[in-house]
Amino acid sequence: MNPTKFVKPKSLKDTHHNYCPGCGHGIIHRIIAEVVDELGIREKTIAVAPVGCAVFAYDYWDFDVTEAPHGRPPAVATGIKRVLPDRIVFTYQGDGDLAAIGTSEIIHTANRAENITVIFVNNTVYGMTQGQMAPTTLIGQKTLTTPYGREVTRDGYPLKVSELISVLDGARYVARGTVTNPKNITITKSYIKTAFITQIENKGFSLVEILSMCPAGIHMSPVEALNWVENELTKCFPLGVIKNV
Amino acid sequence: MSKKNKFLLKINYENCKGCEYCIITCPQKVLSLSDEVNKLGYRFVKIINQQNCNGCGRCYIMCPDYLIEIFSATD
Amino acid sequence: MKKVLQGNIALCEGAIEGGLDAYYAYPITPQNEISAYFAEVLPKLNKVFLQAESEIAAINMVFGTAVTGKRAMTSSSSPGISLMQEGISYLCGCELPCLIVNVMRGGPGLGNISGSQQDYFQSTRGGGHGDYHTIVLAPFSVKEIYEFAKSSFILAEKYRIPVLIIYDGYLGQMMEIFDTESNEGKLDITVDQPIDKNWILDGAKDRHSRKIRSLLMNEGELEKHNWNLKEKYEKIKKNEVRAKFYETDDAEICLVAYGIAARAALEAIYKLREKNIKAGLIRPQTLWPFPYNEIANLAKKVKKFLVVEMNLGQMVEDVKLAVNGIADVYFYGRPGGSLVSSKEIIDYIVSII
Repeated sequence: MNPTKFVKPKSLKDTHHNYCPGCGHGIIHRIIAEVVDELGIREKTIAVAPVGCAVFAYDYWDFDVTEAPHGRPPAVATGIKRVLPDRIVFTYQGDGDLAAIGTSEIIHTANRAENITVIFVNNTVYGMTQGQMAPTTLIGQKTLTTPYGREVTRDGYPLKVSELISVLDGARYVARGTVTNPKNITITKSYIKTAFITQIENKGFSLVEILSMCPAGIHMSPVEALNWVENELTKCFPLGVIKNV
Repeated sequence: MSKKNKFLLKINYENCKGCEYCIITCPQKVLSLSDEVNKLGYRFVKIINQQNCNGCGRCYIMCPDYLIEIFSATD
Repeated sequence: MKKVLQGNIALCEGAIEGGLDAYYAYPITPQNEISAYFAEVLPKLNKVFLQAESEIAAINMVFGTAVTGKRAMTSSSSPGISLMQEGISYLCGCELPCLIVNVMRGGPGLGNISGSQQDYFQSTRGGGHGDYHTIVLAPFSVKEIYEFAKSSFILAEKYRIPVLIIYDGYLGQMMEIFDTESNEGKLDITVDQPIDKNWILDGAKDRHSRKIRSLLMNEGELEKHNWNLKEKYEKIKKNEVRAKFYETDDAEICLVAYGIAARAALEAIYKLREKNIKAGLIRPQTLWPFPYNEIANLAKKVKKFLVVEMNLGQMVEDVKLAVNGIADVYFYGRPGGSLVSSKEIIDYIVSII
C-alpha cells in the first residue's frame, strides 16, 4: 500500500494530543503543519504559543516553539523576527489571548506591518478556564460568566477582530475561515498558505481568523458545536478574504 | 466475490475520542461509532464498509486528532 | 580612552561594547536619553532599535529576542518596571538571559521624576510572581554604569538569567569623566566553559525541534524545575557577590549604602574621620546576590551599622539579616526622590554614637 496525500504531515510530532473531543485546535494544528511542509519551511519556522489550551502546541508541532505571556505573542514574535528576519515566525492565539488581554499588542504589531503571521482561533469562549465570556461571544450566548446570555447593555458586542485589523495600513493580508467541513478546511488552509507566503515575500503583517469548535466550552456535543459554528457563528463573523494587498 | 479494496484506512482507535466528525462527513458511510469504549474511555470510530472507501480523504481532513491515514492499493 | 559621559549614555556605550543586538523600550523619565541615543546609533550598527507601544510589549520583545540567543535589552523607570514584572517572571521561568535597566524615580504610584532608591524590594525580591531572582547590579558612578552594562550579557548568559541594573535618576543624569581602559568598576566574570547555546530557537535545522516554556504541568515537574533554579541561585550567590569596602578595617561604625547614597556616605566617612570618628563604608555592587557573609564578618568587630538609602528602609532588612542581632543596625533615609547629603549623614551619626 502507498501513502496517499492523506497522511500525517512531518511537522506534527507523533505525540497524541490532549484536547477535548471535537476541539478544533487539532484540525488547525494539522493544516498549519501541512502548509509548513508544503512550503518547505519547517527548518526555519519559529512559532509562538499562547496562554490557553493551545499553549501545548509546542508538544505537538515538530518545529521550534516558545511560550509567551497571556496576550503577548505578537510582541514576542516581533522580538524574534527583528533579529532573525529570514525565519518564518507565527503566533497562534485564542480570542481571550488576542482579542481581550492582547488587543494592544495585536493592533500595534499589525500597524507596524511586522512581517509575521498570526493565526487567530475564535471559538467564542475561554476554553481552558471552563468557558467564560470572550470578546467574541455572541449576543445572547450563555457562558460561565453570562449565565443568562451576553447582554449588549452590560457586555457590549462581539469584537470583529479581522475587520478591525484590516483597516490598519500595516495589515497586508487578513482572512477569516472555519474548520466545520472539508471544503471550509481546505479554504482555510489556503488562507494560511497565502498568509505565510505574504510573510515569505516580506510584504508585512498577515492574520487568519479561524472560527472553531470548543464543544466543552460551549456545552454542546462535538457535532452540535460543529453545526452551531457553521450556522450561527458565521452569521456574526462572515467568512472570506477581508484584505489582500 | 469480494470487492477489491482500492484504499486502505488506517485508524488509531486507541486515541479516538468519538467526536464523530469523520462519520458525519464520510459520503460512503464507511465509518460508524463502536459500542465498545477504548482505554481513554471513549466510544471510538470503527470501519464498517472498507470496500466502499473511495479515498476522498474527508475523514482525514476532519479528524481533530489526526488519527486517520489513507493508503492506496498498489496494482 | 578618556570619555566624558552622562550615566545614561555610558550605559548605552557599555551595552554596545557588551554585544547588544536589540533594544526595545517605551518612553519614561528620567531615562529618555537611553532611547534617544540608541535610536540614533543602533541602526548605524545594523542592530535593532524599536520603540514599543508599552513597557509590557517592550519586555516581551526582549523575551522574543532572548529566545533566539541574541542579546536583548530594555530600559525604563520605576512605574514602567512595575509593568514589566510579569514578563520578568516569565524570563526567569524560561531561563532567558537579557538586560533590564531601571533608572529609579520616586514612588509609589506616578510619584515624581527625581532619582530614588525605592525599588530595592521590587528588584531583589523577584518583583513578579513565583520563586525567582534576577541578578541585580547597582553601579555608583558613570564608570560603573559603563562597566556593569558591558559585562551584563556575559553574566546573564553564564547563568541563563535576566540581569537587572538599577540606579537612581541622579546617576543617570550625571556626567563624569572616566577612562574606558582603567580597571575601576570592572566586573570580572569568570566563564569556565563555553556558554551553552543548545537551547536557543533559531529554526530546527539539522537538529531536533526545541521548545521554550515555563509551564510544567506533569506531576513533580515544576517542583524539580524550581529546585534546579534554586541550585543555580546558590551558584550565583557563591560566585557573583560583589561589594566594595572603604575604611572598614578599624571602623567603629560601618555605613552600608549603594548607588548615589553611597557617594554621600563615602564623603561622610572621610569627613567623620577628620573629626576622629572611625567610620567605614561597605558598598554592595550586587544587591542580589547580597553580601550577607561580608557584612556578617564585619559585624564580628564593628558594633554599629548605619544603612543609608533613599527610601523608607528596604536594604536595611538585608543588613539586619546579615548582622543577625550581634550589632546594632540604624537606618537613615529619605523617600520620594530626595537626595541624602553627607551633612545629614554626619549629623545623624553624631547623634547615635
